[in-house]
Amino acid sequence: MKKIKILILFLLLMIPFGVKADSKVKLYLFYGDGCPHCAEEEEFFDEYLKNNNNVELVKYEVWHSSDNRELLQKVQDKINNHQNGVPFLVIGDKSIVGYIKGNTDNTIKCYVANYLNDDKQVDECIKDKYLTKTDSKKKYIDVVGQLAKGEDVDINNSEPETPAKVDPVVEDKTFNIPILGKISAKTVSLPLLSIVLGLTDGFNPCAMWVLVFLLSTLIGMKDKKKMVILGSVFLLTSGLVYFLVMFTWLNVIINISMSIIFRILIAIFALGAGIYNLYNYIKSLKTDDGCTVVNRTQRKKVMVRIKEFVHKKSLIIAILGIMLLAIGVNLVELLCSAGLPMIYGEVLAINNITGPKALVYDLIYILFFMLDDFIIFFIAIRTMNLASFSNKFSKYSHLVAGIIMLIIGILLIIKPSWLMFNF
Amino acid sequence: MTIIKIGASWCLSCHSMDKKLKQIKDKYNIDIKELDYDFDDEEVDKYNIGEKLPVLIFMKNDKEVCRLNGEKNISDIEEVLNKYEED
Repeated sequence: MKKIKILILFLLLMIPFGVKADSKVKLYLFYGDGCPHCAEEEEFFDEYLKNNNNVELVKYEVWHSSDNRELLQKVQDKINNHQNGVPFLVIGDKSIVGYIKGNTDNTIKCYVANYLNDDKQVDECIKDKYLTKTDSKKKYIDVVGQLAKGEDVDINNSEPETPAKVDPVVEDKTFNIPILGKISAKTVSLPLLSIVLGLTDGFNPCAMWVLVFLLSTLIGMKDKKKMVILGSVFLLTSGLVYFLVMFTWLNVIINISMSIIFRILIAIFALGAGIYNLYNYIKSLKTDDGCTVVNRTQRKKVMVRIKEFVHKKSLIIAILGIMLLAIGVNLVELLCSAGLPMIYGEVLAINNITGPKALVYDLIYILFFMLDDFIIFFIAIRTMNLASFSNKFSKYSHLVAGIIMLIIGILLIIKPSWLMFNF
Repeated sequence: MTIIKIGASWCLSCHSMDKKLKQIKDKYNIDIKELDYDFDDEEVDKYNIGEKLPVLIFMKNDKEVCRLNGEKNISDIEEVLNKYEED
């Protein structure tokens, strides 16, 4: 009897922890169509799978498929890893978020070797710290496969899974701010970028002349009530037009053009616009400060219209007229400052900002884009003149816009992950 | 001495210059003639003003003696006035 017990025990010890020799290790890649790191990881798999017949890759696109996003959510709940972002790779019950060539590759190879019971490689992986000794004893469980079939999985895994070597792509830096506490870089960086870009775009002088002319005409009429009403109508309509254009643009980028080629095109545009802005800044250093005269005939037509609407006896007609004018003028003037919203849209897109979040970010942008207009409006109402303002600093908007556009353009090409605030 | 000021209602620099010219007028014995770049175009075009507004043209005995282009400080205008008033 004792011999039988020893034999059973011996046989049990012989059963490998990993997958059977004839079965495959399945790797599940949750990716976004157009995401640069996903494309890099896929390139790695193209080569890796050629030489590893016992590994199978199953891909789920999550930016355009709500079903796949739902599955990813279930997987994240199950393995207790709620890190945002793609690529999100699942091997058994282990996950790797993000991709860095030369680092993530090794982590993937080690996880696979572990599940295929390649003891020699596993020892090396432990030595190189891609695996821990605890990891190496884990049993292979096809978490995603079972969840995709609607089956429940028991992984007895309460600790969050992280790669043995921290992948910088996923490391979300946090810092302490007095009163506010611990804040992650990603949470702060994107709204901050929205504010900086909005402010820079807003100081672009080409979009402001209509407001100044409108206020100047109303000041001349000495009718404060009309000034408050028509000025507010103009500003709100302008904000709405700008917002709608930006929101539509963002949806166009996310739904149609999330490709690497498109990203490169936007990057080239950003570099071109950046150089043009810097050229304008350098040019402005050699010329006098003041207002540049452009297209007198066109502007005169708009000014005549403004005067007509403002002098209408019926306030309703005046309001409707100013609204129509604001829509028309802003659509035309948008071309003058379309550079920054276009680039901002791409930054939001690579950060996978969609739906209500995109609305909030666009609103932040517009609010700061219009901040200088609001300031001019409120001071004009208070003082009933426009003498307190100066155009001397508008040239610096070219300098700031130029530098920002160049930086974003370069990052879009060589380091898009930095624009996702994964440093 | 007469200063011809060419400006536009849509130009913040021109509004800022109005305030400065008012202060100058209180201090010096000068006339100021204002021309609107858009609506007094025929007369404005005679002066060949270039691409920056506002423009201040200093006239003495109906002859142009000096010109300031763009947004300037009060001291810049005073410098011109002091120079030509002495002549």
